[in-house]
Amino acid sequence: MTENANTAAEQASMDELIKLIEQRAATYGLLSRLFRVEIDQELLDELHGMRFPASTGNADVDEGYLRLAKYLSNTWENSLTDLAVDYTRVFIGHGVDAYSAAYPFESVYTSEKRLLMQDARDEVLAIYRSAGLDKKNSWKEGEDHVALELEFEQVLANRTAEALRKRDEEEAAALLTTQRNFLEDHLLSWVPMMTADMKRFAKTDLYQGLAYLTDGFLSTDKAFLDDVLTEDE
Amino acid sequence: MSDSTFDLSFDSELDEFDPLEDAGENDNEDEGGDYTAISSATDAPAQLSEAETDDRTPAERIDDLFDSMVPRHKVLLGILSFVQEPQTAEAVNAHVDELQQDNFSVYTAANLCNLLERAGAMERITADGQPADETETQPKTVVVNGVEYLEAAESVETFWRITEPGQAKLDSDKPIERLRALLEEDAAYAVIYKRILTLCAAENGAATPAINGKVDNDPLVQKPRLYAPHFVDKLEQCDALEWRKAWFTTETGKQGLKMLADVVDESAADFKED
Repeated sequence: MTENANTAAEQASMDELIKLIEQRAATYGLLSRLFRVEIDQELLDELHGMRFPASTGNADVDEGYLRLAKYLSNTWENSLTDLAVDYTRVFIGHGVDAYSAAYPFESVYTSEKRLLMQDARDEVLAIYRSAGLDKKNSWKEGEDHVALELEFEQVLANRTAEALRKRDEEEAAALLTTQRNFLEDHLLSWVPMMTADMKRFAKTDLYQGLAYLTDGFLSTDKAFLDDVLTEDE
Repeated sequence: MSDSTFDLSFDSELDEFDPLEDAGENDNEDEGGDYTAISSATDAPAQLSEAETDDRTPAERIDDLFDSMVPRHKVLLGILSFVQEPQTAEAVNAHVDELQQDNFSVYTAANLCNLLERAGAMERITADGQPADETETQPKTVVVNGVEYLEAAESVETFWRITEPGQAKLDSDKPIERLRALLEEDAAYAVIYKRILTLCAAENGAATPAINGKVDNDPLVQKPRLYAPHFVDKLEQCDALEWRKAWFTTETGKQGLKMLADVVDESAADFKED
């Protein structure tokens, strides 16, 4: 009886962990999409139907969700145009001094002269390939674009959930370790600098909110991965 | 962004570079770049400095906008005229699509309205006349299974409305006077203008080759050599002609024909279409 109870408790705990990891994957997916290209009507409608946690315990995440919800409560007929203009202002800019926008590439923030396609791009490309991933031909930007780095974490998180369902805990631990390493070595090494720039350039609450949400979520996820991997060890 | 002006070449000198070190001090070591003067480390929101540098009055901004968008004059004025009574963005967008039906532009209705708003020619208001920017709807808070969530609330309906400087700009537009001034200034070509306006006043308007055929061989336009599109452009800028898959004489153009009533165009029949 006690053994059965323990098994049930373990299963419940495992289900909870899988759910948590799937939620992480979904958040990484959402962030990746928001950074990848301008928002279209389909995504705007989807965002309108979403609920955002009001109090997560992380001030940046809360601020991010609040600003997103506020923006969505004040949309109007031409919001897509407003958002497209803001996306261009924030991520593309109009200057040539390399400080005129929040350029969404790791290379820009980790190379002295703020150039594209530097070492960071080569490193992440090698990591993607070691995980059996390559970019689609339709993707014309560098592989160190923030959207791809976030999507990489999403893919690994989904693989982790799948491994846990198959009870392959060793594989799951390896995947979580890769996620933590990638988060530490790449995303967290430059995204906070980019989000600081986003806050300077963005005029809409949506892209302001995205900056806060990204900051908060990445630090929360780092804490989660540290916790879960410590337990695992 | 892939066609960036950045240097895409790899630089082995940067292998030792630590991104977490303070990158603010560049010692001007790059070749001629002055980017150190513009540090991303500043805390000031970028848009503030941009706004602070624009000290033009709304009237000046509107004039500058119109000066920089000469081919869109009619559409811009059409928008201003339409929003003399408050209109929903949906109605304005539909109206602009209609105005641009035969005059394609890369500028969408939303782009044009945005430009007019930034220039101060029109504003977005709520149903009770308050500026939409000052009316912020807060998200709804809902509790599900004891957890608080934020949900997007229903947005307040907004309307476009012309501003005082916008109205002044609209009122200052007098196409008849512009046409009168043109006809006085170009009196030597009165016959050509009359011929074009008459041709385009036909029920089905006039095709460009037909106008060219009636103008380009006239002795009047041989020296200095001018061609029909030169005159068509000038008439269009005075709203005397409009393109609707053919050139048509507008009401303003018909007024112009009255101004030219005394001009005798004896040669009109001599210049056959090519």
